[in-house]
Amino acid sequence: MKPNLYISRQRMRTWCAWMICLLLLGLGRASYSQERAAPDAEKPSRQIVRQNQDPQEEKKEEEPQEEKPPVVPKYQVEVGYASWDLSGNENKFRQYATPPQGFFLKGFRYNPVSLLHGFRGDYNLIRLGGDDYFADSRMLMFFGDISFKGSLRRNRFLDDVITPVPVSDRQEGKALFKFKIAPEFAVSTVYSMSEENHFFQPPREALRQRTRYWDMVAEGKVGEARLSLGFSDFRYFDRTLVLPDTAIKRWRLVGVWEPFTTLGLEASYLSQEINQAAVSNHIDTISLASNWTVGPNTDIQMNYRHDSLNLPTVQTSFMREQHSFSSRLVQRWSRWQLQVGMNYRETERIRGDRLFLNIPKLWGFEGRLAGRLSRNLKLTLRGSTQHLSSLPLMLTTDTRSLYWNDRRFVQLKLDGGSPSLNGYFQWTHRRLANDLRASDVTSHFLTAGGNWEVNSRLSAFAEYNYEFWSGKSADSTVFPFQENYIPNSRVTVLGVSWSLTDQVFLLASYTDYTTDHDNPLREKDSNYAGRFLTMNLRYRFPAGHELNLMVAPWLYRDRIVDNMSYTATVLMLSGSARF
Amino acid sequence: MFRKKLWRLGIFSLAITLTLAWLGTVCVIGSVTPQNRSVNPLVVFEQAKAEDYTSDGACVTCHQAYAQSFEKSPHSLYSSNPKEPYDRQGCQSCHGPGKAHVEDREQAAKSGKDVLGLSKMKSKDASAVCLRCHTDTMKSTQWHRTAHARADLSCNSCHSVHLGVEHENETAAEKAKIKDAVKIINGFANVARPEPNKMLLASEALLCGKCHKKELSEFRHNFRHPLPEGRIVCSDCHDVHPVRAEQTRVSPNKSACITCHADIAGPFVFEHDPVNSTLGDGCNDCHRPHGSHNPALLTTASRGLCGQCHTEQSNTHFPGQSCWNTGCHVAVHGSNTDRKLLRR
Repeated sequence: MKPNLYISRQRMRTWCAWMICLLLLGLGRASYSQERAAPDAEKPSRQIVRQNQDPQEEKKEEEPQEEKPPVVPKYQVEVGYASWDLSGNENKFRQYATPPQGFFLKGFRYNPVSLLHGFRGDYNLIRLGGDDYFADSRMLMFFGDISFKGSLRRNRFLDDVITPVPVSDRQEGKALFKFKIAPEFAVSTVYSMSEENHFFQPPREALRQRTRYWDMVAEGKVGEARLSLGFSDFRYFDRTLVLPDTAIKRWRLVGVWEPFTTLGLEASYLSQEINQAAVSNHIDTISLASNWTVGPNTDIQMNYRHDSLNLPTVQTSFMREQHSFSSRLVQRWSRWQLQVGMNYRETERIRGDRLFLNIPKLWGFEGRLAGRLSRNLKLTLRGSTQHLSSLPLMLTTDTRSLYWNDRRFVQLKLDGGSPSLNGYFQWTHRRLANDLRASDVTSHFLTAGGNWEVNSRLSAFAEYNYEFWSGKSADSTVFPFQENYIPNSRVTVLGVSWSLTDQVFLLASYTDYTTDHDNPLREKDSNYAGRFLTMNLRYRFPAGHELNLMVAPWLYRDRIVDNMSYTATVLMLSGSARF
Repeated sequence: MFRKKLWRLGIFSLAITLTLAWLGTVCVIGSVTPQNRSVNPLVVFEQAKAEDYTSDGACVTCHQAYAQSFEKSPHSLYSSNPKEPYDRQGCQSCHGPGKAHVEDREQAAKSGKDVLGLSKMKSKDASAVCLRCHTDTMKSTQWHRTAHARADLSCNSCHSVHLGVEHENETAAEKAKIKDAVKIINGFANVARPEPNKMLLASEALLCGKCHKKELSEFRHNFRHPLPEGRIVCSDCHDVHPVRAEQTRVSPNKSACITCHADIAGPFVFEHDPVNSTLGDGCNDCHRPHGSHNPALLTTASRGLCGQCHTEQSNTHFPGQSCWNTGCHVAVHGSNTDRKLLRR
């Protein structure tokens, strides 16, 4: 009988609730003890004086500490009210997250500077009880020899479709525990569990899945080297029973040795076992890396990696062995820096019919030049190229290779100006080509922007992005051509920050995006425009409390499928208090 | 034939000679007027004796603002541990022995015994100070291999022990950049998001966006990873601290994407080669991870995506919909039941 490995949502919530309770209890207990036991415990921890110190000097150093530092607020509570005033497609509006609606707790933070001598912690709750929430906590005990971190989050969202679909959600709980058992040796463990229920428009099937992840590491100084031994266990459970449950167990050993201050060596071995539907797959990886500081301004780096894969699950082509090597040279001058490098990858690829072994080879070269053209103008120029040779013969109807055999990348960055008026410009170019099929895809990205500090109270910024794409294929000879599926787009951003008085601040930003797409299939999400204005007015009371008003008229238009469009005026009034 | 071999031998010898000559020049000539002060902090700490240190009270007398900000930082907890050796306690655990500085600052500077000012040091040296203790984050050799170290960034390019205190060398332009980034992200929906790490100068998106402007701008697209909404941060995918990142990665042989998108982790009975990461960029062959103007963060829209590799199929079944929307090739990432990826 198959064991029930699922972690129910209820159980996950219970665990997380226990975790939060324990943390609260710990924080409360520590805070209470501090108040009872040590009225002066909040004094700076720097009071600890070295044993070999002169007692008179000790007295001297206590004098300045009598000046009390300003009181740091321990608690912060923020509440608010929000409305969307939404008309149109709610799915598109909530595609990535769900903003608050109605009255809500925006946040609660408990952040004591020091609980007890040698203890520290903080605790944050953001929108607990809302559709989307986040909570995290951290405790450091015994001067950081023991540390604990935990977080819990949930997000609700909708697939951006026209038909009604159930609300999707993703929730995740994470915990990290670390214990320093010796001055230079520690053990740590990470645990995370996530659950995703993602619903799509039919005929696409829903995803209802859980993942659980454990990782344990013991690491520290052993002799002159530093060793790290780790084990991790990853589990995947598909509750729709379409995909098989998967368990990945991994052992890794990493050693770092710095025989001289100018030379560092690292070696690692990694063994993975992937169990799926009673079939065991195995992957072994060995990697070596080095960094050699040849001179004060010169570094040479070299890496080698070997992967060996045994995947009985896979019935199509797969990589059996892979060797990769890369090296880089970094040279610095007073105002300029140059990097050049190369990489080589050789793969033993077993063809899908198991009758042939291909050994494709990938060569790559890269370079980067950065420096100052003048005192206020910085230039960065980088580029890379990759070439694939010994191309494999495919088993598809058309046996020409399906891989890009030529990749190019060039980027130019210019950044500079005066402190009150500065700007930047970036041009990025990529080209992917498959010579056997006479096809390529080329893209150019242009980004230009700048900041203007009008005076100490008023500043403005603007940015413009343009993406230009093109592509061709010798095989597409009738409409629609490859070019017709490759849209261009532009994004414009404007913003202003204005301190009206010492207490009143106005922040506003405007984003506008649009695409230029032939869209031969007349599909949704292809020809659209969005205009988003967000304005924040903030009033800060002398005691540090704040009132915040956000007004955000947003507009989204799909020019092909109008049912995807929406307009919303998000209104949010919130107030925060610190004490 | 012989002449060809001779040519190859000649070129090879010339390359070796030039490389050796260049290496020799680098070793002998060394530094060419570095922009910042070059001090090996490890040597400073190694050579310091107990009597070279002073009390922290002496530092607080002049540097009150720094002392107060330090108290708020988690560092104050670690550096007040009485079990730690004297060179890992208080202000001097990072700034080095300060007695000479307290007695006569100018004389100390002249004799090279002044305290270590991390913001004035070369990036490599400044990072070495942090990595004395943060060996769990990474060793210096691991740091030097990262792209950030190669681009001459140091730990204090992103982190600050003295948060809220303006560093002397932080120009107004730098501050403006952070302000600018704040405004960029501020335009999006205000939903539940975690607090930025307390040691960071700003939230991850804002910090990374200071240099990676193109990547930040991609998050403004209609389709994106939900970073502006606070559901993810840059370090969820990027190995800024490789040692830490490894502890939360599912598999180093596959792309980082499978940590969250576990349903496409495989291995599948019938794999789709790009997902298999055998030859190429893995997931990035079809997707733009930050954001895209195409649905599902695709590089190319709809059937055009499949058509860029499967060129002979690009017009099959036209004018149907995309290859997967109509319920045909629904298992584009891999299938356990169908060789043509028609069923999951």
